[in-house]
Amino acid sequence: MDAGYLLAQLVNGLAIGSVYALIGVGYSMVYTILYLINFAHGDVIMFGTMAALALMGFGVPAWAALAAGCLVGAGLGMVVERVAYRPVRNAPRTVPMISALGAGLVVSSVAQGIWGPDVMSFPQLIPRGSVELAGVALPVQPLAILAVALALVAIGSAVLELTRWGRATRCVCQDMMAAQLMGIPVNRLVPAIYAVGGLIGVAGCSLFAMYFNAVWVQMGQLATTKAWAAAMLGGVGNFYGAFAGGLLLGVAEALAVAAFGSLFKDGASLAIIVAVLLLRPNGLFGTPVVARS
Amino acid sequence: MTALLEIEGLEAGYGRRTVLHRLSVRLHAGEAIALIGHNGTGKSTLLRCISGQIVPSAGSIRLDGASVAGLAPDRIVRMGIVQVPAGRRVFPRLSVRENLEAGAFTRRDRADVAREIAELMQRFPVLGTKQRLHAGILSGGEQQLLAIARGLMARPRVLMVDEPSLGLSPIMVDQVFDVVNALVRDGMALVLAEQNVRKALQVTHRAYVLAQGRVSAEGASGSLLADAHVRESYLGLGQAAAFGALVDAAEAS
Repeated sequence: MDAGYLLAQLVNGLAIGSVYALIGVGYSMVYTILYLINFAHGDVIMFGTMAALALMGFGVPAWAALAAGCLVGAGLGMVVERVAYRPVRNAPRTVPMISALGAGLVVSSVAQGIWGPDVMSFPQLIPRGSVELAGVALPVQPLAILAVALALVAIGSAVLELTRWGRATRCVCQDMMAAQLMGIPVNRLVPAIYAVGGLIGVAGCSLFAMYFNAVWVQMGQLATTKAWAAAMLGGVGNFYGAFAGGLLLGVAEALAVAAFGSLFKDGASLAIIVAVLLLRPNGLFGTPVVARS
Repeated sequence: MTALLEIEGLEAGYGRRTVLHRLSVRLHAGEAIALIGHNGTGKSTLLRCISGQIVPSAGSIRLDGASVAGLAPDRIVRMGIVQVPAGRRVFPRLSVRENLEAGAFTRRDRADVAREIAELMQRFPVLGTKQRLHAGILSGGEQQLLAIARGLMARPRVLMVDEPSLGLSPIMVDQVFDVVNALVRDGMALVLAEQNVRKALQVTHRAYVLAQGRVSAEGASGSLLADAHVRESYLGLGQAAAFGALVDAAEAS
């Protein structure tokens, strides 16, 4: 295995990892607040990406269609929260989990009814090809994906750290009941967090579709698995943790492919979920989650 | 004189289990009341009803005549009823300063908020020196001071403090009660739910004794402190005092 191949795999891993990071961030925030494994997350963002593709098919300019797809993901995330999660928020934890599974199945079934089960190609909005930097040819697309992901996370963290609603979000993540007692309208903020998670997730999913030139209805379940692994690896309860976890997961997968072949790609993320749960249940950067009554 | 906070015939519970039975409590402006009673007598449930975390099934809660029962918790905070939760519940991964700012979430007067934070940090110097640290690493007593200060940042008209002495060392209990006492002397309308009955009666004007979700006794805190039944049931003095008298008599003979 030569150095060039390894470098290519590393860049590839960073690109895929950025996508996982974007998908994982929204998932992680929801988990942090509601202790809910959001099985519908991947299906919601798949739906948004499909909607973007459909709009492009109707002749809507690509970037406008992508923006609209992100909004579809945001809206659908809010609908799922309202219909499937809020009514069972105080129920034992397995109940919302089953409800989430059901919501995901409904979303993916509807998508399959509309768009069918086949793999479709996705327009290449970022050119393939490469730039030369200090004598090394670097592919444009993975680097652009990494740049988009970093930019979105920078915006997200600025909102979280610097704005009034961002701080309110951090309060809700750390102690929902105390946040409520501070006058933070939790029932308006939680749907907004679902919306932001859906929005960023659709952006990530669209980049994924572009990178592999493929989009299909069942990719939602794959996305949920990746988001779960990214959040687990980075540690839930931590915006940056999920992001770092996503990047690491992408690189780990790429290295697994380089070492053992591409069959092991998805196995790597599942193995990481198992390993993290066994060895470091709070993730690499996570804080212990204390059960509240 | 009409009450600032007036609770009439309140009934509430969890699911089918009714915890509060036709409970009536009133709080006047500038007054501090204590809610005392053993574990599970409904003190916390009553506070949860007032702050909007659970919706009462019957009865009324009025602030200055306006009904607050059943409103969303954030509306109730905006109307001026603020609860300092039991167990402190500071935001562990926010700095001390950010916790205080979070307490002022409902306010838009940034300059005043900054000034009041500075004042609170003078009043509680430990919060000033630790303002950049995560609240999660403060001691229990420091967290309780922070939780009270955070509650004050909302500029409450009624401040409800739930079990402030819970889990604190005796020295910190004294310090926390000094703070509560100072608030009472400043004229803050205050509801104190507390298991440390003696301390609670010492710092408040009036008190309600809760038993099985009903008001079993009410009156001036000072006279409840002297009441034989309260002494026996809640202060653990009745039998000990009788025993002491017995010992004295035996020794004298």
